[in-house]
This record gives sequence, C-alpha cells and structure tokens, in this order.
Amino acid sequence: MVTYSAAQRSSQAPFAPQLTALLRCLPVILISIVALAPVAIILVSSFRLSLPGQPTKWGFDGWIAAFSSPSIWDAIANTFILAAMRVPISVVIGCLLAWLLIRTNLRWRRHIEFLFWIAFFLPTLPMAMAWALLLDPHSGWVNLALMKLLGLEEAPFNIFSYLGITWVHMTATTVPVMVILLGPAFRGLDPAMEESARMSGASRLESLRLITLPLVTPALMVAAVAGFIRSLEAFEVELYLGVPAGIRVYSTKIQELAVWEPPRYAPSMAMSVPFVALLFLLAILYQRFLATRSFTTVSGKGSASPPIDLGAWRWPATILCGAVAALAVLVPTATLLFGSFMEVFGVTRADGSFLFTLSHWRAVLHDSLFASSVVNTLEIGLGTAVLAVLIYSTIAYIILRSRLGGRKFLGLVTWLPWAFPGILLSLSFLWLFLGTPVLNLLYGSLASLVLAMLFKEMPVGVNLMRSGLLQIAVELEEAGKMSGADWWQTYRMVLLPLLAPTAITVATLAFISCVKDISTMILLSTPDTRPLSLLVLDYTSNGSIENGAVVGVISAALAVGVALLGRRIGSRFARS
Amino acid sequence: MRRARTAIAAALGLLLLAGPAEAGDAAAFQALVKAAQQEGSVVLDGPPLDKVREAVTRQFAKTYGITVTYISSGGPKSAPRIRAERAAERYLLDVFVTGADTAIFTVVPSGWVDPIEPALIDPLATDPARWRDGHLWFADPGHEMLRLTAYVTPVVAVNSKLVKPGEVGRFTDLLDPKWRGKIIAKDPTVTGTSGSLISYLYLTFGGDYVAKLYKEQKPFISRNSRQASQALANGNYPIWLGADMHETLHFRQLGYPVAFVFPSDGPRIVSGGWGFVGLMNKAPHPNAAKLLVNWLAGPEGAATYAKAAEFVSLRTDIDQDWAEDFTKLKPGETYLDTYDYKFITEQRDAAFQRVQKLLGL
Repeated sequence: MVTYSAAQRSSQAPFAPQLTALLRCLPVILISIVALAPVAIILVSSFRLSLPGQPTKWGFDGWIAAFSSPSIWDAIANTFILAAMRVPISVVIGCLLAWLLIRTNLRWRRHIEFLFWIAFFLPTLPMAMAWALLLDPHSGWVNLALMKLLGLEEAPFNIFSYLGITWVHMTATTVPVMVILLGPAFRGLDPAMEESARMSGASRLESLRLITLPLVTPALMVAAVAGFIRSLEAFEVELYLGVPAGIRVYSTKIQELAVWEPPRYAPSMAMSVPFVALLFLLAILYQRFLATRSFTTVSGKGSASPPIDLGAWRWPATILCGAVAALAVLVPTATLLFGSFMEVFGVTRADGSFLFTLSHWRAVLHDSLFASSVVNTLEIGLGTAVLAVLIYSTIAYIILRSRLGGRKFLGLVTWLPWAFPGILLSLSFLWLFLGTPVLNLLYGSLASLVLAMLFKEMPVGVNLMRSGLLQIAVELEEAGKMSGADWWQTYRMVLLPLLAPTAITVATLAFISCVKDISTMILLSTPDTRPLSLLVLDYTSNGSIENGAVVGVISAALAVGVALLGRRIGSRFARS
Repeated sequence: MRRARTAIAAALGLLLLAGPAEAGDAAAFQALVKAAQQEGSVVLDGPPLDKVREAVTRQFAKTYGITVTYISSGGPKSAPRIRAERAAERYLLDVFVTGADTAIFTVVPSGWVDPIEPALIDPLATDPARWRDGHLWFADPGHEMLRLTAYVTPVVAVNSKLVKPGEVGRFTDLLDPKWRGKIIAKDPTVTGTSGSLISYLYLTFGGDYVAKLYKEQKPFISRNSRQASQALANGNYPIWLGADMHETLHFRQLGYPVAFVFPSDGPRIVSGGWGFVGLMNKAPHPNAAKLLVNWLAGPEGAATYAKAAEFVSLRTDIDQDWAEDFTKLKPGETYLDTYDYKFITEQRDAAFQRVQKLLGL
C-alpha cells in the first residue's frame, strides 16, 4: 500500500481542496447571485442620479430627496400602524381557522377551506371597490340599510379609514393567506402527539396550546413575517381607500416617484433600501429561532387518526368559519359577477332601475386579446408552478439538510424578493433582462415572466418547503440511503411524496399568483405575452371597469378550477 | 393681472408651436405606401383605450393592409420599458402616441424621436388650411412630435339638484364655508391632469387660494374617476373639482342630475388627452411608421382616432358632430392651453412644486 505524507498530498494537488469546496458551494453561489442581482440593481440605482441611456452621474441626492420630504415620515408611520393592526389579528384568526378546518370534525370543513383559496385568488382592488359600495359613509348599501333600520343619523361604518383598510385586507388577503399557509403545517402534524397529550389528561385547548401550536411555529412565523412584509408593501387598497382619508403609505410614495415624469428612480430606490434591511433582520431572527428547536412531526410511524371532536362547539364553530369565508368570498364575488352584467359597474340608473346587459361579456370574449391572454396565463402559471416545486424544494433541502457552505446565507437571501414593491422589482428585472448577455435573449418571452414570478414567489415557496421539510424526520431519509438509494432516489421516492401536500400548496399558490400578479410583470410583458391580470389592468385603467369585472370573474373561475385540481391531487396524497 | 399673464402666455405658446405651411409630396407618399406595405407591420404604443386600439388597428389594416401591433400601457408605464430597451440598444417601437408629460419630459429630451415634420409628406396631412388656425401643431419648439388633439375640458361638475345655477359661478365661490367638506377633488400630489389643474389654480388665484381650498375646505380627495363621478351623481358631494369629462357624461346619460360649470373668473382650460404622436428613431419598420403618422395626421386617421378616443381633433375638415359643443374651441375665446410647451416647462412644474410645499405634501 502506498501512502503519502501530508506534504506530498499537498504538492500533488495544491488547489484541489479549494476547488472541491468551491464546486460544492456552486449551487449556493448561483442561487445567491440570482437572488441578489435585483437587490444590487436597486441599491446601486439609489445612488445613480441619471436615467438609463444618459451619461452616468452618481450622488446622494436621491437619498436626501427621499427622506427629506415632509410627508414621508407620516407615510412610514401609517404603514406600520396598518401592519400592526392587521397582522397579529390575522395570524390569530388564521391559526384558529386553520386548526378548526384541518384538525377537527368541523362540518363542511373541506368546502370552507376551499372558499379561503378562492378568497385568496380574487383581485384585491375590485374587492376594495365592492366593499366601498357597501360601506361608503354616504352611499354604502349596508350603511343606508342600517341607518333606515335603526334610525341612525350617521353611517355606522366608514370604509375610508384605518379600520376600513384593515377590514378589506383581512377579508381579502391576510386571513385567507394565513389559512392557506398554515393548512399544510396542521395537515402534516403527527396526531400521535396530540393523542398522547389528551391521554395524559390535557384538554383540547391545552393540547392546542402546548403541543400543536409549538409544532406549527415555523409555519406560523413564515405566515406572520409574510403578512408583515406584504402589508408594508401593499398599496392598491391603500390608494383607493386611504387617499380620500388622507392616509398615505410608504409604498404609494415609492410608486409615485417611480412613475413621475421624468421618473425619479434614485429616491424611489433609496426608499426601498430600508425595507431590505428590515427584511434581513426579520429573516435572521427567524433563522436563529428555528436553529434552537426541533419541529419534526412526520416520522416513520403511521399517522392516520380521526379528527378532534369539538363536541358541543361543532356547530357554532362551523357557523363562525362559514361566516368568515362568506365575508371573504361571497360578498366580493357576488358583487363582481353582478357588476359584470350591469350597464355601469355598481351603478343604477337615476330612477333606481338596473339595466343588465351581456354587452361587456360579448366585448371581452370577442376581443382578440382575451384568448391570447388566457393562453399566456396558463403557460406562465403552469411553468411557474412546476419549476417552483422543483427549485424551491431543492433550495429548501440545501438550506436544511445539506452541509454546503453558505446555506445559512442562502436562507436569508430567499426572503429578499419581498423587500421590494412590485413596480421596483419589475423595473430591476427589466434592466436585468435587457442588460445581461444570454438573459437578454429571453426578453419579450414568456420565459422571462416565469423567471420573474419564480423570483417573486421564492420567499413563500422556499419557506413553505422548509416548514414541510422540518416536519419530516431525518431518519426517513437515512433509511432510504441505508437501503442503497442515492440522493436523487431518496429525494424522489421518500421526500417528495411526504412533501406532496406542501408541494401542491406551493404549486397552486405559484399558479394563482401568476394569474393575479400585475406589478411584477407589468414592465416585462409585451402584447404577445400579456396575461389576464394585465388585461384586467388595461380595462380598468381605461375606464372599462365592467370589462375588467368580466375578466375578473373568468380569472376567478380559472383559479377555482386550479384550486379544485390541487385539492383533488392533495387528497390523493393525503389518503396514501 | 394673473389671468392676463396666463392668457398672453397661452397665445405666445400657440405662435411658438405653429408649423410653417409645407406642401406634401404625392409621389413620394405613394412610394412610401409601397415600401410600408412591403414591411407589412408596425408597432404602435398608444393610449390604453380599447376603442382606440380596435379602431386604429382595424382601419389602418383595412386601408393599407398593414398589421398594427398595439401596445396600450399608457405613457408613464411605457416610458420605463422603452428607456430600458433603448439603453440596451433594443429598438422595438415604431410610433408613440402619448400625453403631454411623457412627450415633453421624456420622449423629446431623451432623443427617442426625430423631428416629425420632414416625415409628413401626405398632402392631405400637411395642408395647413385643414388645421385649426391654419397651421400644423407641434408639441415642442423643435417640432419633434405632432399634436393631434385639443379640446376644452370642464374642471368643475356639480349635482344640479344640490347646487343652484350660478351658485358656483366662480372659482372663488368654492371657498364659501357652506361647501366645506362637500367638494370632491383630484389628488393634488399627482402630476398630469391633476398637476395641470392645481398649477392653473395656483397661477390664476395664488397660494392663499389653493391653501384655503385644500386645507380649510377639507375636500374629499379621490384618484378614482369612477368613485368621484358616482359620489357626485349620488349627491354625496355636490361639487367635483377636476371632473373627468367622460365619466361625468356617462352618468348624465344614465339620467343623473350632473352638469358642468365653467367658472367665469378664469380662462377655460384646453387639454389634449393622448394627443401627441412621435416617430421613433431607429424604428424596426421605418416606412410603415412614417405611413402611420401620415395617416394619423391625415383626415381618415385623425377622424378615426378622434372619434374613438373622444378627443376633438385639431383638423377642421373632419366630422366631429359626435363631440359635445363645449369641448370645441371657439374663435375669439380666451383659453389656457395646458398642453402648451411653455406653460408646461416654465410655469406648471414650478407651480406644482410650490403647491406641494404649501400643502405639506
């Protein structure tokens, strides 16, 4: 046997260990570069005072302009007030709803859960408009009815207020999203732990508080952080309901600067940078929290178990959950559907009569743009959904289960897409695609939109996958390897099936985001690649709100179809 | 005194932007048509209006057999994309139809267009006798973009059941305490038509007036024309300052008691909508692009565009009976043209910035 001394080994291949280490880190490096590129563009652009195509000029004027505006600090305060109002409440309500829907014997729980998926899908701005029709302090139908019924002199509700904005967000997005994000976590729990708690004498509430909630903490934290960050960048509802009440928020200020003529990119980019810092901080805290605990709940043991019996609370809980779902879904969808057949959306004739018409439906269905938009949407959605599962699960695996260098940094970097308001992300992607060799070949294609959406959905997708992986015992993977399977076989035959409920959620969310998204795709889309969401925007921004309502109804139907399909596939995996 | 200054500025501006009397070249135009037809298609970025998209693409294809690829993002949304494309040396757009702000602050200074005047060779397009005041109209002193439309736009609409005739006969009547909390107004922080209105009020009546109007009168601020027009029609707010003409007319057609008011203490305002057309340089289909601008400037294209967009054309030889009479410019009347180059570049922006500071925005 020939042996070599350390010096001999070193002299034979002096760079081999470094090269090997570098190659092992390559996936982390590549993914980090992709995630950091838009961030770098935005950061650098905050110091660039000239516009693209002009001689370059650098300076701090953008930062000074951004933070010396008198109204900016009011906008920042409003942003945090609104986030603080709705996120904690939504997390609590969402958690309770998810537990009731997934873990108990609530009546019609699958149908009610499904309604939350539909609520998540519905376009936000039309829902704000629908609620304004009902709760406008002067002409809202609910207000008028209550004033007549109760003999009130003033309307009891005012949608143009902090509470109004919070209400619309909670019913339209935040609570449904919490239910969707927390559902897979509750579904993946090993019921044996709850059974053990009950056998030891714990009540249902004690079992929920001491066993269930701690185990779903990763998903809860993802949901809370997601809700908080998204509320910081929200602006459609704030624009519609806040501006009349003098409530301006951070994201509306950023957007105003970006679409100024000529555009003021430097200050708008400068305003985004603190978001990045805040997001990084939240991500670091989240990672540290996860590192100190174990959340394994899916093990090699069987997990079939009857749902928790609510006893006398069954029907009251069903009515409560059903009422929340109805508020989130039935009110806005009924308004959208009704409005799509009205001569003027939400408006009667002066004599109070309605004029219903099919003309808007005919106009949309005969519009040559409509068919191409549907096809584009399906292609973008399917492409994003499939790639989302593959890419996000791989990233999540690298972060949690690999020993690759830089994986913790990768975990932080995956949160970054949320730090930017959509219009700035869209702008940075536009510059990235046009200014980068190879990528510029994709400009104007559906592939560019798929890549942009994959980037945008990375925070939710990767962290959902992480939550799912955290619940799977490492021993299952080790058992696969001990049986002779290589990494890919173990991943495909052991992990992916166990991750299936999470994967389906991620795929469905990714698809529906593509159907809904406007701000990320708006600058990348061309007439050939325009999806349905941008068609809605085109219609509503040119005053054809009725046509926008028609496309909104069709988009909702598409999402319902996708959600049904996702549910069917998910049920099959749950049973197996 | 202030009103006189703005009227004089408007008149000077009109003189500045008047084009010389040029004759077209019929033979060159025919050659252009043939060359354009060989190219077969043209890319137009135009207003986000379905009727315009349908009418222009259909009629141009019918007349010349050339396909129009229509991008309808609207100027402020198109400009970032076009800028990025051109910085990366991707020249994908042939013709750009846009509003004043994008034209004057973005398109022209960025050097995206070549002067349009030499490209206008259709005798029907260039005959000055067929244009208002006997000349072609341009966006800028360099004649780089052609102006297609100009119409009087009312800025005050009232619910006629709640506001008696003459009760709001002057802009200064809006400061009457009885209208406190009862006016719905455009967002004063937004440029474009809102910016023009706020600047007009500042330049005509001064900073005190604007401060009293937006602070003491506590108007309901709306960026959504549908929301505002509905509030007016329902009587929630009897007065709408910055009224959207098309939305208000829509409600009038539904039988609601809404009417326009033209206050007597300020000149009437002229706007242009998406009324500027530019010929992009390094266009992918240069001949089809030239043909399209000639068509838009000519009688058929101008009529098609004006009727679809519901903006009164600056041509005088086309049927515009579809337009409301108050939108047409009348000889001898004094107007403030908010699409005038000098007004926009020298007065409006400065006034707008001062108003932002005044209102603490």
